[in-house]
Order: sequence, then structure tokens, then C-alpha cells
Amino acid sequence: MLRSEAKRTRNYKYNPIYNLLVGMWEQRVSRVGFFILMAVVGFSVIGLVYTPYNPYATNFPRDLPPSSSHWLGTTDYGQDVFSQLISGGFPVLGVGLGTGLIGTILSIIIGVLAGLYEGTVVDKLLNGISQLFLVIPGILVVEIIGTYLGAEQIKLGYLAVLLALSSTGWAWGARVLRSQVLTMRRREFVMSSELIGESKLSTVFRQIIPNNLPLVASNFFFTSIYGIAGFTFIYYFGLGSVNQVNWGTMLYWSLGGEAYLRGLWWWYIPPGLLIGLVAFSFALINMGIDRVANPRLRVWNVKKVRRALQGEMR
Amino acid sequence: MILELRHVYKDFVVRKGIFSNERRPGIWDVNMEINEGEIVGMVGGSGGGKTVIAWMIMGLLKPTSGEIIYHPMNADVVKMKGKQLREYRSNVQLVFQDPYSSLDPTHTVKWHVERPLRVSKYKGDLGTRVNELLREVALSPPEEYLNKYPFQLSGGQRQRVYLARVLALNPKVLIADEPVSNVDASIRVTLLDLFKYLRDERGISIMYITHDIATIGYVADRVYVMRLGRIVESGDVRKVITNPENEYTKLLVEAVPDPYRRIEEEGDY
Amino acid sequence: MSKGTVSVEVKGLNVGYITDKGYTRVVRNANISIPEGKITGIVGESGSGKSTLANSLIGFINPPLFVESGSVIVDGKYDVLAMDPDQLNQVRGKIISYVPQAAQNSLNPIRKVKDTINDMLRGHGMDLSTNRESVLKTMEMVGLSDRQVLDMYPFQLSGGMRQRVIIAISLLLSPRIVVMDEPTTGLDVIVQYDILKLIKKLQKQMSLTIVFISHDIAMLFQISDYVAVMYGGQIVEYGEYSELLGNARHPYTYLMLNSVPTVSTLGRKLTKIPGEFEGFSNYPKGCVFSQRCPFATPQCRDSPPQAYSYAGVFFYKCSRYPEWRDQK
Repeated sequence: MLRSEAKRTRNYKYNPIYNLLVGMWEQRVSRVGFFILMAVVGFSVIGLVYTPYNPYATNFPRDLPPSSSHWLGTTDYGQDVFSQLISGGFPVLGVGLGTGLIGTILSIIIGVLAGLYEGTVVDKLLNGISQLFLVIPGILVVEIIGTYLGAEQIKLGYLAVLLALSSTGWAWGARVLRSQVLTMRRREFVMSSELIGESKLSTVFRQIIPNNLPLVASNFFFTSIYGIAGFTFIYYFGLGSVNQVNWGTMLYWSLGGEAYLRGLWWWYIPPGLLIGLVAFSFALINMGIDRVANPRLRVWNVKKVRRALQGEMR
Repeated sequence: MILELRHVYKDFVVRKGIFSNERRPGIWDVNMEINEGEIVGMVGGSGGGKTVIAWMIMGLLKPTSGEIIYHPMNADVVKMKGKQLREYRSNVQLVFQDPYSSLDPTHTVKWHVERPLRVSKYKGDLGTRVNELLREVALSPPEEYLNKYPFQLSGGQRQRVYLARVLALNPKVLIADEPVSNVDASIRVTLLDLFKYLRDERGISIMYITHDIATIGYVADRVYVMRLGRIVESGDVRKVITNPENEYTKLLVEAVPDPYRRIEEEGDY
Repeated sequence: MSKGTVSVEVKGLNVGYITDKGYTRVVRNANISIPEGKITGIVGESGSGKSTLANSLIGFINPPLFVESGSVIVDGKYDVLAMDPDQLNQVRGKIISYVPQAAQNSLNPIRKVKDTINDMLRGHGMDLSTNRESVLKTMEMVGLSDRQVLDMYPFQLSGGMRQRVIIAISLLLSPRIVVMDEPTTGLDVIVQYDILKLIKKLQKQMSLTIVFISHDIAMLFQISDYVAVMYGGQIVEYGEYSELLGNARHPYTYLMLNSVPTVSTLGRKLTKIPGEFEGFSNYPKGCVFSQRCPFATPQCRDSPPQAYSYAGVFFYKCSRYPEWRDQK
């Protein structure tokens, strides 16, 4: 018996969540995405406890290019760019992932309810609301909230943005999940549960969701990208509180400080790059999830197998 | 008599569009009975309505007219809902055709057999009962199978796990829809004998649905021959197979695979 | 069997699959000479390796399939496993063609039959418009004389008609060898009967060499001239159908034939084969069937039997023949 065959015989614990994670780790695409994400997260977490200088301080010489004392130079307002960069990441990631989390939970609740009560008033109502929210852009909601709350906005800041984005980012996922619930209810192993006497709720949480874990995970990352993009958009256009320090406001102020025209690349390229990197890492992770869910998309390493076989034959 | 179908009709709406050519047969005036302690066969080609009848018996579909009487409860399945329907379903169960889609890929054998016990509020030790059920369907030793997932099992094993799941509810009637067609030939006989065991030792009545009339000859006592939604012949299994009267039955007997009957080239058709 | 020409020669073939956990060998040391102008059936249950073998015959060997060693020589000169895609394209369809498994779902659902035919012909530098006559002739041969079929979508056709279309497509370029992988799976028993009669007719009319793969041993024996029985990735017996029916050399063949309920054996007790195939990760040391064989001895479980040949190309892999026949 080949050694490579012997490895597979063990009774391993099979848990849909565990299996998805292992699968994501094994696909190179999502592993790379994960590392990139971790690097950025690590960078931002450090910024929570340490910055070379106070990111808000404006007492430095202005428009300095990168140097040993200011690694990424200074802004047109005399602030240290690197300090802003390292401390400005956490809000972006927090709101982005937070949107992903809340949005996914909302889509599960709404999608499942609509799917279970298919054809009834509940379904029609929820479906209608989903359609509505698919059309309304999140920034509009932020503007409305902002105008309504006025001065309060400065205190709520990130929370307001988070609420605005999560309340608009669930619609797509809800629709997809609803149609999944409808399909799954006609699958034999779900019908079998109905015949056995299982309750609808039990079927949803014990069977439908575990069988659609890649979909839910993918939805999470997708919605997180929406969160990050939305966040950037909001702050870049000055719709959020512009006195906070995050990558979005850095872009906003650099635009105002004519950084592009004056060649102050160290001010706008780093935040833009990091935002793009985070979104990119999410996209890579999503690709990995796709491949785990659909084995036909997987990439096979034939050379590795050939080498292993030759090694064993010797 | 346990289950009786009286003058059951089912019409299907056929979309008369530009491409429509799909003729789904309506079920026409079907009268059947399932008695205690017998295996009744329903045989016919695809599209003959066999699965539709099975689903109507299970209450998953409603006939256009007619009654399906379950005598122990003295009630018409067509009119059942809620609590009554649940009680009915704990007595009459369905075995699906495809063992590869009747089990949830994310749950173990133990979960599949335990759930019906939990749902029916079984008062006893769950673990012991699960092991008993697995042994009854010849999955021994049970401990070896408890923590396995469907992808680790063969078609025949999956089908037996599903049977254990269904038997956990102590049904009086089993409707088996092509239970062995997706199972390896070498274990088919084991499964067929299992059905016979359930009839003889457990007193369960079984309706066995298939397109293979030879299997019916091995496992059933009586048979109904279905064609395009109608019963064209019925009776004692031995007699119907060796002395078919209806043309369609004769065709079924001629077409069923038999290694001892060569197919030689025939004329034009 | 007389020393006729050999259509497909398989030598020492070992094929397997790349999985998440490494590599699993499925087809093990397959050797078989498929004769020309006859129907050779390959029967095996799920996990026997018959589909893997079928794919190797036509060169469908992309990952996760992996050919370890061995050769498949088609028509005496084409080494299918060593050819690149362009060379293979010359051979496929023209010399050897393929009718896939679950063929009813192999037709592109959003293309009309004539478009699918056109696609296939264009792949070989031909065209429907210039070859219309021969296409219509092929369609008639498979029993589709109504020309309207060409303008239909697959969903408008019944399962049997779709199967006939697939068979017609495989015959368009007049190949000499056709590999059919479970061509009747999913079909009604009566439609299956018609298709079997059709295959028999086509084989005679076009002097085809057919390799017919199926898990249905009863059906296979109705139509094949020669039968190869596969178990656990190995060909355990190969011979003439009548020999295997009356005097099978391998216990598995005998047990399988006697475990099928038939109309002509109504009322007879059927044999049960205990246990199941354990899978390729737990491959037995000795004879692959020894764990389930009622005639097995400790020696069977210890060392794998060699292939005993007779009548030139036929063989069986059982060290207890003919002794086991006295025991049954």
C-alpha cells in the first residue's frame, strides 16, 4: 500500500466549519489572502497602542518627504503621516468587518424567514424590503443620519457609519439565502426531516445553514468589502466626521491639500494602497472559498504527486 | 387492510407554450390496497406515476379527487393536517430512491438515527436504541458506524442508515421508491432480504416501487402494473409475471435484463 | 477465440486520483486485449475502477486523474496516453469515440441539436451544411428519422431520444471503435431495451468495435460477446460470455450472476455476497476479493493470485480454480 494512501485512513472529525477552514488554508489563494489580511490587521493593532507621534499633532514641518524621523513624511497640515497610517487602520477594519458580521446576520434572519414562509405575506413583505434596500446607496443613509443627528455625529462617528452600512449591506445576501432555503427544502435529506417530524427552525439551523457554509462565509467577506468600500467612500467625500483619523479621512484631507497636484505621494498612496490591499485579501479569500465549495475549480499540483510517487518507488 | 386508495385522480397543468412537448401523465382512477404483513409491488416505466402516488400517500401532494384512507386512524390522508398529519407520518414512512441525496452530508450516522427518536420523544436510552436499530439493518458492529459521515459510506450502507432512521419511528407501513436501483448489485440481495425480514419479523407492510419487474418477482406478494397513470394489470406476483395478460406487462417482462436471454438484432423499429 | 485483430491493447495500466491527501491508485495493473468487430463488456460495481479505465482508453486523463504507468494502444498504432491534445483530437471521433455516462445530461441544454452537431464537426474542420447528407443518414440509423429533431432543444426530447442523439454524434465521423460508459443509466427499462437493440444493430451494420461499460451485469451479458469483470481496480476475469455464464472461473463472476433476480429464475434462491468493498485506502494484501469470497483460504488472503490465461487472451485471477467450483 502506498504511504500516501495510508495517511487517509484515520477517522477524522468532520465539522463543516472546521472543514471549510482547513480547505481555505490548503488552497494557496486563500492562504495568501489570509496572510496579507493578518499583516494589515497586525499593523493596525500595533497602531492602537503605539504611534511614533501623536497622529493629531500639527506642529511638525509641513510637506516633508519620507525621512528617518518621519518614515512617511508629513502632511500639508504638519501631521506625521506614518502615525496617522498606523492608527488609522483599525476604524477601517473594524467598520468593514463589523458591517460584514452584522450584515450577514441580518441576511440570514431575513433570508431564512422569507424562505420558510414562501408565498405568504411575510415573504412578499421581506422580499419587497430587500429590493428596496438593494437600490438605496449606503451613503445616502449616512447623509440622512448625519443631517438628522447634527452635532451628535461627532460623538457617534464610527457607530453611525457602521449602522448605515450594515443596514444597507444585507439585502443581496438575504435574497441569495432565501433562494437557497427554497431549493434546499426540496432536497431529499431536508424533506426526510420534514417527514420525520422536525420543526422548520431546526431544519434551517441544523441542516440548511451548515450545508451552505461556503455561501455564508463568502457573503461575509463580500459584505465586508462593501463595508470597507463604503467607509472609504463616506470619508473620502467628507460625509463623515472629518476630524477623525483614518485612511478615509487621510485621503479626504490629501485631496483638500492638493497632494496630487503637488506630488506629496507619501500622503495619499499609503492609505489608498492599504485599503486596496485589504479588499484584495478579502477577494483572494473568497476565491479560496469558491474552490473549497466547488472541487472542480481546484488547482491540482501534479508535479508534487509525481515526485512523491517517485520517492516512494525508490 | 391498512391503506386504501379509492378512485384517486391527479391532473397536471401542462404549459402549452412554443416548446411544450412534455406530457406528464395524470393519475387516472387508481384503486389500491395495502394489507397487513404483505409486500405490494408497483411496477412500471418512468413517467407512469409511481412516484406521484407515493408522494400522495405521504401527504406531500394532494390528489385532484379521491380518497386515501388510513384505516388504523380511520381518516383520509388528503384531509389531514397539523397534529393528525404528524401522527400519520409516524406510522407511514417513505424510503427515497437515491441514497446519495437522502442523507445530510454534514451529519453523522448517529445524528440521523437519533433525531427521529428525539422528535418523537422516545422514553428510553437513546444510545442503546440507536445501536439496536443499526444492528437490525445489518450495520454491525454499530459502534463502527456511529461517527461516520455519509461520504464515508457506500450506497448500500447509506440506504441501510436511512432505513434505520425511518424504523426509529416504528412505522406500520413503508413506501419504498426504487430503494435498490442506486445500490451495488452485490448488496442488493441483502437489502431485498432485509425488506422481507421487516415484513415477516416486524409485521411492517411495504409498498415496493420499481421499474424492474424481476425484483418484484423476488420480493413482493402482489403487484400493480402502472402505465401512464393507470393500473393496467394487478394480482398475485407469480401469476402476473409468468402469465401476463396485458400487452404492457408483457413488454416489461420482455425488457427486464436477464443474462440468460441474449438480445439479437431485430428488424427496423 | 481466433487470433483476430486487436482493437485496443492495454498493458500494465496503473491509474489513480490526486486527492487533498495525496494520491490513490485505482486501476491496478490492467492488461486486456479488446478484439476488433465485437462487443466487449466491462462490468464492475461502484469503486471497481471501470470508469477510470474507460477514461484512459480515450485519453481523458486530466487531473485529478493521474496515469502512473502503462500504455493504451488504439488500433495498433495510437499511444493514447502519450499524445498531446492536438494529436488526440485527430484520433478522437475519427478512430475512437465516446458515449459518456448519464449521457442525457451531456447535451448543452441551450443549444439546438443541429448546433451541437455543428460544434462537434467544426472541431474537426468540417461543417454541417457540407455534410448534411451523411449527418441525416446517421440520424436515421439511430432511429431518428424525423428531421425536426435537429431543430429541437434537448429538453424537448425524451431521455431515449437524447441518448440516440448522443450515439449519433459519436458515430458522425465513422469511428471504428466506440466506448460507451453506462449509456442506459437513468433510462426507463423499456427504453433501455430499445437502446440495447439499437446498439446491437449498429454494431452489425457498421462493423464497430464496442467497449460497453456498465454496472448492470444482467444487461451486459445480453449484449456482449466478451466480458471483462472488474473488482477493486483489477480485471479479475475476462472471457467469452457463454463461458462465464456456464463456467465462470472467478467466484465473483459466479456470485454476481447468481445474485440478480431474473424472470427466468423466478422463485430461485439468490446468492448473497457478504461485506462490501473496503476501498482503496485499505487495500487487501492478497487477493482483492478474498475478504468477501466464501471460498477463500488463508493463502488467498496472503498472496495475490497471478493471472491464469487460457485460449490465448482470456484470463482469470483466482488460485483456487477449479477447486472452488466443487464447493458451491
